[in-house]
Amino acid sequence: MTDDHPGLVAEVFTEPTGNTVALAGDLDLATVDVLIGRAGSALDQGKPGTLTLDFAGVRFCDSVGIGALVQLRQRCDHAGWQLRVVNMQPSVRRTLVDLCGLGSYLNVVETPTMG
Amino acid sequence: MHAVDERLDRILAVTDATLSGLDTEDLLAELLERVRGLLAVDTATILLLEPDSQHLAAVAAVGLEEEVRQGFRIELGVGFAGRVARDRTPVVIDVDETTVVNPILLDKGISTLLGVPMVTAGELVGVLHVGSYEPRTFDPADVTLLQMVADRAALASQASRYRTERTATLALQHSLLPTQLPHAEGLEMAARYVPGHRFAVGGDWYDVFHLPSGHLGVVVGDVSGHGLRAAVVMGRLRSALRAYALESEDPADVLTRLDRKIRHFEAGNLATILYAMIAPRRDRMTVTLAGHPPPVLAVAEEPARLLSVPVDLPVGIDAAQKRRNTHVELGDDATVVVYTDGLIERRGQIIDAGLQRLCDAVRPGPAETLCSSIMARMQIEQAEDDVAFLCLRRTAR
Repeated sequence: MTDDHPGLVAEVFTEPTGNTVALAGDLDLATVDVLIGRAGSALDQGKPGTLTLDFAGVRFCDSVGIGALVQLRQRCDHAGWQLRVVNMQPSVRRTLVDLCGLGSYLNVVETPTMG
Repeated sequence: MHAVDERLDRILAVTDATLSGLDTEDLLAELLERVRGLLAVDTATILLLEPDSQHLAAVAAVGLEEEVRQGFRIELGVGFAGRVARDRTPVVIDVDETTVVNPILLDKGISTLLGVPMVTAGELVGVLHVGSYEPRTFDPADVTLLQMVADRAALASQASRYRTERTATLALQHSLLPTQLPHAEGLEMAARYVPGHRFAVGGDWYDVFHLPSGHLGVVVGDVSGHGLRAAVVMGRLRSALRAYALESEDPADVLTRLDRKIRHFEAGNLATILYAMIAPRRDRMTVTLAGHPPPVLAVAEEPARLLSVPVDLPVGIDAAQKRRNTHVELGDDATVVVYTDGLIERRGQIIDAGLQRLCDAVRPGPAETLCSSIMARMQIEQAEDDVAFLCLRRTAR
């Protein structure tokens, strides 16, 4: 599995209460392995806590990306982690939350979190 | 000087433009034949990776034709070819029971094997190996030449695999979509399916069926993912939904059952679905949405609009959520359009732009004409994904 793709950059930050994966780019068939790989490794690091996906840089998410997010939520459940998604851009929020009804399942946080 | 000429000849022999005219099977056979001569070896074999099973299967061979005829397969990481594939690096071995697991290699009396990985765009495609009955060594130039051949073979094999998969997916898609919509009194219908670009084909469907009560079932759905696998899952969901529709006349209940079926038998798959039942008198529709965009409704003298229908989770998600039905009145002149997201989603645009464009395109009128005008106005050529949609219009009974 390749963890790097020009279409999506993912960075993992370790925090006392869990890990954050900051994503930038498009989440689709070509880049979905980047999310799966990085978030998967974030789940293997440290004690179970909150896995935060920072979507500030995500401009596009298609049905393959949605499938990966659902898969990630299921992996979090199995591993005892809490998933949440923050800083979602309005266009991505419109698709994932309003049209697909995934807001509460993916724990999409309404406002940007500070500190 | 002589050595350089010879090396150049060898390179030309495997990069020869006339090879491009051959179909993949002939190309692989010809490359193996040439490489056997160039490297003065006795056998040459290509094994391709089967991505689903993670096994390598022999597909072309000279000197070791038994491998192909007997359908030799080996797990990634096991044996000689498995090791070349796993490590993605050239490997030379002296053949004995400790280095190979394939009995054919031992029985044939091969002494030395050189194998190189076939990789294209970072993806492992297979393994190419050559063997010699007499013990021998391979110098770096031999390895480089074999790697060139492997690269060429990898490219051709991968392209052929994509072509085959796309053809098979399209054939399956078309066999599963209605060739003709059923005749339904009081309704006129038309539909379109446009496959996505390149690999993004498969997984979308629409369906229309009569129910014993006189209701008409209307479905449009989208299995997450692409290719043959998505099309196969789509076929199963389509059949299962029809079966549950016979058992229950409550759309939310039908999708609840379907959800349970997917989670049990098709775990790991995800689909968005719109399922609607249109009343026998055609004046009412009950609709439920599983992660799917809402229908567009048009009546004469008014701009078309999105129906306000609450959306529940896609099917295939491990969550106990109560699904909801929404009842919609259909006036005498109502036109309804249901669709998959490929119709409205364009990279770099907020989805509302696509929804608005669709509403602007929907006008009362014959369903077939409406389909054509939606096709013309929705920039279908820019759609990367599958596009499926269905137009229904009430008519005098």
